[in-house]
Amino acid sequence: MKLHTSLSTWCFLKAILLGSMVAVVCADEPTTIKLALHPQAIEDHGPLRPILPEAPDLKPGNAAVVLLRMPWGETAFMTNEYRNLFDNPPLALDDPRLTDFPFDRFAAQMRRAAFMKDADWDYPIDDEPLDGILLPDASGLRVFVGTGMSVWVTQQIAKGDLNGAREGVLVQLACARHLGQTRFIVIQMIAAVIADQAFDGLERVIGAPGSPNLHRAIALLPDSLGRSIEALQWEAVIEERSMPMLRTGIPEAGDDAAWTRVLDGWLDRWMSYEGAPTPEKSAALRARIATAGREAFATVAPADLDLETASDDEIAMRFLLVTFRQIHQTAESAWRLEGPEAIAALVELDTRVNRLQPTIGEGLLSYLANPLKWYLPIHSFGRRARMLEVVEALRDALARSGGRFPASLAAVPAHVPLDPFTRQPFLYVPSEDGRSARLATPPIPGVADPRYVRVYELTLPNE
Amino acid sequence: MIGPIRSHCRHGLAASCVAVAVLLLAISCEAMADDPVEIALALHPARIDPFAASPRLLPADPDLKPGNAAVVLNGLMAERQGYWNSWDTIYDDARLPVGDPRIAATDVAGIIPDMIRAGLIRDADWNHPVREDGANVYLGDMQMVRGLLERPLTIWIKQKLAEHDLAAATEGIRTQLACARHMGNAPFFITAMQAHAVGTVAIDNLEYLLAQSGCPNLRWSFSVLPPLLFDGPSMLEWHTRLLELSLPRLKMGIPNDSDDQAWQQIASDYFDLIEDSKHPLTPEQRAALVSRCASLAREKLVQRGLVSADAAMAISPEAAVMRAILDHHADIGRQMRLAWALPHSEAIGQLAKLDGLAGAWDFDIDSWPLANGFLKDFLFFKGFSRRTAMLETVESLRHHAATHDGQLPATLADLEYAARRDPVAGLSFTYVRGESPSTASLSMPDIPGVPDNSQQRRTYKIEMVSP
Repeated sequence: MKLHTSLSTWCFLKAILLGSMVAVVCADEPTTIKLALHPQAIEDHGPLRPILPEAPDLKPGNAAVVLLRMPWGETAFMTNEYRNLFDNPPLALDDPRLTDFPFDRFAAQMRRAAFMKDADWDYPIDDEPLDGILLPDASGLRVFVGTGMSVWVTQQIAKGDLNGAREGVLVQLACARHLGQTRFIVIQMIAAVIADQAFDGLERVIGAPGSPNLHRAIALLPDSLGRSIEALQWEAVIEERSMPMLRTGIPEAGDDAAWTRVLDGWLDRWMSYEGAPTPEKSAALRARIATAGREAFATVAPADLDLETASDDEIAMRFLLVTFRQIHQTAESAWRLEGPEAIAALVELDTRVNRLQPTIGEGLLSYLANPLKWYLPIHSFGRRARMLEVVEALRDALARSGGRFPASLAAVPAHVPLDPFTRQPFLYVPSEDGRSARLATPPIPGVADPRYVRVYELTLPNE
Repeated sequence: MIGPIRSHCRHGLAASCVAVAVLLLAISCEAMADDPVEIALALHPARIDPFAASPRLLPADPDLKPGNAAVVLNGLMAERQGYWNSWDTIYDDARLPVGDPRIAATDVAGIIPDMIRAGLIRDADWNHPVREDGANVYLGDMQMVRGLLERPLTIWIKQKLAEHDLAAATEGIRTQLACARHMGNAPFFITAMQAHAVGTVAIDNLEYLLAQSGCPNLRWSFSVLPPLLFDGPSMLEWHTRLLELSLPRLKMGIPNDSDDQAWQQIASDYFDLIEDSKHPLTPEQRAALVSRCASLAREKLVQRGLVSADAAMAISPEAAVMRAILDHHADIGRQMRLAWALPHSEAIGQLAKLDGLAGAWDFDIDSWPLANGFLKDFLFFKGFSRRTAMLETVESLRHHAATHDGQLPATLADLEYAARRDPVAGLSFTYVRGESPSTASLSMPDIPGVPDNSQQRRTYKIEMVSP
């Protein structure tokens, strides 16, 4: 029962996160942001004003300890104030209840954590079952580092302390990077959500009067935070490190009882998501998988598999294991590619996985059944960074060319990056009088989801 | 009259860190000078087996254990006097081809288990006092570890290949790459070069491995290798701060222009850092050199808008010269980091421009450590991903041969498993099938925008051996 309970927690967390991504990273419709740009040239020299701490600025220490102890001794805050950070619907960041929100002491602790070199979360990853590890700490930190610091950044902007606001964004990104040191893909998603909130704050900093141009600092941001490749590698072993019968060795070909035992365990575990499986439902599912397996193996089969004599359960379980491995291997090699090639490979994988869903059911294949779902939010970090780099290049152009938006991105003097997901220019359309412009992400081939469309409606401050 | 101090700088590097100069020499001889390289590869067809787990060439994170690999690697030579005594022989033997009887006769097995153990440890903290000592950190440990990973381990790998123990040979190569990754955790540009050099030797050994009959198809194994064996942005952040970390007075912040004593100290420390320790300048010679550069330095500061013309005349020669050097260094460092963050094609253009900018530095005192060779260094590091992409394509060819009676395809477009593009050039590898369908050549394309003398061309002359 422990296995099932903890599994539910894990998956519940995943579901929350996926829901969060829908709400925060990419709403159901294209995200449109109105931004008034104050012309500001890029400084040729002077400090970079980093928005992610640089390696030589980091000090020894374990940031996880600092971050996790924040709520202790804060009973009054946790009782009276904390809920304001995640009211439903969330309070607007300029809501009067947040204007004086008492968050300075937490911001100071998070700043300290941000400038620490290491973040060792000490999850018991070497214990088993792996999927029994609970992750409520990361979810709680999302409220502090994500929403709480966003409130604090807004407070600094309201006070006119733009340097403080920029540093608040830095703290959010640094702490997101700390969370990204964990080896769980779900926590990579939490890091992505926090980073997304940080970018929202950065947009507000950029839109504030007198904000220095952050073009170069944004250009130095990476394409993603954290260790998503390592997390993928852990996802690939979750099955075997959670189910003792897989870890102790795959059964021999023809050992019908052993294969049935493995398949039983696997089906019990996965079917429990949708409630206790009935014998009829379980039997129907295992029959469908066996049929799919026989069809697949009819073309090419493992050398030691005798299709004539193998039991349905052996066929079904071996089909599942082969499918898992192929998904994991394809995902990991795709992750190494550049954006357009990675997405193309993952779209193709998605199509193949989706074809199996009528047989096996959505979500039943693996924790990593549709890697595209993880790739896009995690790597949206780089996409948002590059898009904001374009915005800053436009602010520079405004400062250099009489306060009117340039006719095209080719006319922008500063470096204008391409969209990393498509290797295409961002879509830029200025108004005829040059007083406003629209900047949008180009469509991603194979991804029709409108949640991955972001539009900036740019104006001049006095328009 | 004192000559420019530029010529001293290359040797000055040796003054601050002996290992650096040795390493640079070794790298320039072994890894950078060979262009073009032509390798004859006699390959055996090998099908990609969708049911077999492909071996990893770098350990996956779940396979790693807690610990500090640096401790294990630094301890390799303790109580091993035999190795110290036969070091020269080991160095020479590692270059011998697989099957040479001298390789079999060299006993290196004693240190291999600890190397394998280090490769399977998750962390490597080298504890170099970079914050305290900057460029004066002694890196003899890294040079020794590099030597051990390149030479005795290569000998062991070649022994295993000769014994046709391909699993052990693969483990040896995996250890080389894993330990190179550990070396890449050190914060220096030079240790990144060392990590890369070890990785390059591992790739050389992989070429030997692929040529063995019975070698499984490693296409996926190549596809999941990282593009670099170190964290590029982090390394550059350290590298561009190395100068300020090496000048103790700067740790208290940039002094006021009027603080002559502080600037004299900074100038003195800077000369100590970059001079040839065998032929140091006398204080009088240093003063004369600074004095000669001061007017140009003041001009530069005014041009850059850092001081007014009047203020420039008021600052001491040491302050003017050192401020100009530090500004130039900061500017180059910033542009270098920004260039590395760009896509390859744009990075190459920016780094070529940066080389031009650095070349135009007309001081008689060099700007250390960011002096020149930015594009060449970049291409040197990027050679790792080019080579692994090329070998991934070789594996697609081996699969094709296995499914087409040993014949190679007419073009790369005919491959069932797509060929990789050269990740730096952004172009396909150049493939020409020979007169016989079992022979072909596969070459790196020229990288657009890169001068001919900086291209690092590599060609495989492939012959597919009949089963």
